[in-house]
Amino acid sequence: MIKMSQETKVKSQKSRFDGVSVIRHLSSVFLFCFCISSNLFSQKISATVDRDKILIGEQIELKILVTDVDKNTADVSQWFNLPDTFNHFEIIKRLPVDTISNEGFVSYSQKIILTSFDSGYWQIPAANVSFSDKKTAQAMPINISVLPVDVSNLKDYHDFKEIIEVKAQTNWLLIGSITAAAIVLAVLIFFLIRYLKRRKSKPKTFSKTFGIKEALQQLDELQQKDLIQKNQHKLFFTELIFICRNFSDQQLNIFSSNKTTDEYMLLLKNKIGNEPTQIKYFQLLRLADAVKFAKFIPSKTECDEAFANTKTFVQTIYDFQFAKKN
Amino acid sequence: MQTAPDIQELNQRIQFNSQFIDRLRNELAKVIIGQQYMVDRLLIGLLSNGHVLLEGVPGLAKTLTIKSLAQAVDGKFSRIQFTPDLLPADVIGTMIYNQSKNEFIVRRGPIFANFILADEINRAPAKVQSALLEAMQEKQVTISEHTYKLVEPFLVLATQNPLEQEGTYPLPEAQVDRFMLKVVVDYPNKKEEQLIIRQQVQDFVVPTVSKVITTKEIIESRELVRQVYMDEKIEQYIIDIVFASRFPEQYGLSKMKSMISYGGSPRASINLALAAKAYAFMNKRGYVIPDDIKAIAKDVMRHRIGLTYEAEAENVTTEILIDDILRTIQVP
Repeated sequence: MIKMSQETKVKSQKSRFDGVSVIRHLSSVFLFCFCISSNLFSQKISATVDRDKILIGEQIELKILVTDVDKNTADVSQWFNLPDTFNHFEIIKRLPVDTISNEGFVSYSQKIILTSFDSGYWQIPAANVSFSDKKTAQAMPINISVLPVDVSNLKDYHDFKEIIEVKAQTNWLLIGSITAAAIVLAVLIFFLIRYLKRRKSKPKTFSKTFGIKEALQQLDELQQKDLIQKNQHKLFFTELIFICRNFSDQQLNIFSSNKTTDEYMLLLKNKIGNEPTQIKYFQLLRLADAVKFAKFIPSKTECDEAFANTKTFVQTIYDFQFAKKN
Repeated sequence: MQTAPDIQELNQRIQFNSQFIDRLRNELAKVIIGQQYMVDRLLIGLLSNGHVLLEGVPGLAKTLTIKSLAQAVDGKFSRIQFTPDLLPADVIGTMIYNQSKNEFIVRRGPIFANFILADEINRAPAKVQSALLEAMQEKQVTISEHTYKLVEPFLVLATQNPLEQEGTYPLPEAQVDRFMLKVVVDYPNKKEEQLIIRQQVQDFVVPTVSKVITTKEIIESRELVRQVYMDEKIEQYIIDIVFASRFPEQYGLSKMKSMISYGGSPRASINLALAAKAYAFMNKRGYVIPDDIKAIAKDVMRHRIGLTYEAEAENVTTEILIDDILRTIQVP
């Protein structure tokens, strides 16, 4: 009896267990079906970027796409909104939201151009969209690496290699060439210096007619102009001194055109070769200054004397310099 | 021997009338050892009615020289120390209330003297500098409603300290141009310095300057200086020098073009001619020769040529530029 009752108990328990498991299975199936059906007909959101690694200041294009929106039942009530600056990112441009209708459903997409000026590993937060049926959809957050420099082209590091012993190679050809060139150069310099020394020590020979012929010719031409007779004393003395200065410049290798009379006399001192001629020439210069700048009119005798002194000066300075140079 | 009678006569007159120059030099030499260059330039200013700007470090007998010159010429001397708080009225004078007479009377400033030493002129602000420089140019000042002529001879000797530039008001180019000469006063040489020591340390009697000439004679000499003959060729030489400072490229000095921001003004030509005449007078000549121009060219031109930054960067001074000009321009 007891055994029977126990068997009945077991059976009834078995049948109770079977009912519960059926319900469980059914509910699982129902839930699965519900999930599938809800998944099939609910809105989808995705957030994608054109690159996940940028250099500082480079731009990223973030695209947010919401698809399968039934406008009649659950239209978008609130669009994903990013502030202008967030989490080390700066928004450069927001393109308008694009709406695409397809077989009763609508897709929304928006492109946002952003950049970052801080190196590091930053996250674009999850894109969140709310619908009119109180539901919300959320995309995955996106991680972006912002690098300070472009390292994509850099080669990988390699370990240090063992020290390799290099055998010293002597380029005898090069050493020989350099030595030969140095010897040739030294010989050339030696001969050049010797040549220059010889050239320097060798006295220059001057032509006996160098400069004097022209100077005396110019003086004769001046005399033939008869400027004194024409009472053009100023012009006469100007030209006379001009000839003398030119000649002395040529002979003494000086430049007297920018020198005043005093300065010119200093340059000539002890270079004329004859003291009385020097004194006479200096007196002539003073006389010429008085004629040129003080309306002084010398007598005929003074003019003739001045002319004769000029000729003596030219001859004396020439003879002295000629003797000195030869 | 014949000479144009006017110049021959002028030569004789100048030889006679310029004798005081030697006496004046000797008298000044009693108290001022060395500084002959500065003394000569002061005399040029005095004889050609031009003012002199002196630049030199302190202690080079600038004040003593002008004070001695005033004594030797028997003129009234005033010294104005320019300071940042100086006012134009402190220089030219002002109206003050006379309580006893119950009226405003004119109180003339220190500018009413024959010889003015404007010490450290660049220490005073522009309004005071303008007041002085205007008086220098016009030879008269206006106090309240009355205009007063300044006494003749009227010579302003202004000094500038080249070392200190802190808290100074450098004279603008237009005002510096009003000085006939800018003389750079140099240190005395070793021998002169030794004599200075002996005079100051050993001698118990401080030498004094006696009156050599009167202000009236100076004014007469000025007339004579203006009569000194200047040939057309000398005038052309002056013009060439001044024009070379303005358009150096026309005189084969193209490299100088980038160094000069502005060249000598017409005042440079006028003052070059006047100073050369005075220099000829001092050398007892009745006519100007190129040596006279060369002798004073630097003093007349150095403050009238503006240097560019390029020149300053290359340490090129106006003296170097003037030397180059004088070396290039053909002497008549």
